[in-house]
Amino acid sequence: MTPDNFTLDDTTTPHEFAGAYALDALPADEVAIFEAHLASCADCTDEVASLHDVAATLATLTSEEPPAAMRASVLAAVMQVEQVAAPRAATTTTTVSSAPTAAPATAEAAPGNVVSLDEHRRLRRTTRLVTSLAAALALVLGGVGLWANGLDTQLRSRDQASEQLASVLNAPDARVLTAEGSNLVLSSSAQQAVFAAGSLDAPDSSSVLQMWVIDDSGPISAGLVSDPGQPALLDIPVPSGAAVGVTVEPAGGSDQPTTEPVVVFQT
Amino acid sequence: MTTPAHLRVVDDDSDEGLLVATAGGDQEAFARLYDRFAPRVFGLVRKVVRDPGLSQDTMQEVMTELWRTSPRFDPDKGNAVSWILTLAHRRAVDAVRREQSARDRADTVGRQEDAARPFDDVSEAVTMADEHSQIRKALDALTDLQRQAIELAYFQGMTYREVAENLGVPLGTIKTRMRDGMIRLRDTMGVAT
Repeated sequence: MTPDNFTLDDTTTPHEFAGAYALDALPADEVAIFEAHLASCADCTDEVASLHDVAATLATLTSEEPPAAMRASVLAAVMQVEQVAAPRAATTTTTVSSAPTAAPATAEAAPGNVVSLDEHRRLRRTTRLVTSLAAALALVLGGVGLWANGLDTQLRSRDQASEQLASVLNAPDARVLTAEGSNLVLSSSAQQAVFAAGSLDAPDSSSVLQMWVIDDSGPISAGLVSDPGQPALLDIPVPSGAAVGVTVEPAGGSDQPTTEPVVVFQT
Repeated sequence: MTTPAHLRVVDDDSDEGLLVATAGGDQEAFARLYDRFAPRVFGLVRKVVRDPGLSQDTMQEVMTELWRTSPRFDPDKGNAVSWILTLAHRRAVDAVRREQSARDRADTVGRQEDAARPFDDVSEAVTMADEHSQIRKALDALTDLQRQAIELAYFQGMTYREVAENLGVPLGTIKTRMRDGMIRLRDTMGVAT
């Protein structure tokens, strides 16, 4: 199979993504890539803001009164919901140790982006910290700490994993391969990859998507896709020329693939 | 009160004023914001999500999220309408994509029928209001492909890939048409930036 290859670089003009982005028509992995671009492109930021205004105007076409009971229900619900902290002054740099709900510094928050989904925001914020994360990444790469016990450690590990994921998505040489409606974002320099299930059928509760790096010596497990709605980092390096396959396996995963791959990416 | 900035704008009846007051924890301002935006938010959610039960859940989620994240709104950097409806649209799209992948799991045929659903029912549902006819006119000024791409993405929550598949047009073309179509709408409608 021949996947569509494209990169978000100057030759394919990332500006072209602004319309699809403002319409929420980009899949999650491309949102992460485009938002990384937005962080450094004032033109796109302005354009996205203006296109969000256009989209908001379109919403007046579909106006419809909600059920009357909804009002009381919403007002009661918010009484129990704590609000996020206000963004800090523009000079304050958000650090990786800050609360997950903290907003980015206001100078970086373009109008169109201030309502980015939390996950997207987190990816974007961590993007800016990639260089300072080299040490943390090395730790994760070594597999240290990922499986340690204790909730705190698990949460930290999850943060590290999402930082690593962001670093792949935003690597200068990141390539997006598309096959069967799913994506593999690959950084050849880092030999790392992120899989996004996209429109692949999600497995039922008794099974799981498992990722494999396939080279001449056969498939090696690259971990499970814990949530098909979220991009998943392959937990082993992807050597150049290797293929990446995904199979449906019984819950918990398998040592070797037991089914035909639902998708294979030739890297 | 330790929030003079919020107190200062709480009497401001503008969308931005109400949103800033909401960010200061003012539940009354939030209630007024709800009254002002509920029809637009619900209509959009309903359009994208379609399923009545899921639409109501999503509406509740959007409104709660609006309350929760309102401190992130910066009136110097954008307007409240855009901010609120961007939030609403993202949540609606998330809901419909989650639901769609669950449905695909159960029935792969369902998705194909879904993809073939007509794209122009929005146009038919447009009311007589002046603003609507102005928007309608702007949409009519687009090429068919621009309009279809925008309507499928915005009102049906499709990704550009689904739109490309649906219209039988290359991915790159769809991406470009979405952008130049939105820019043309902006210029025709004179939407302030």
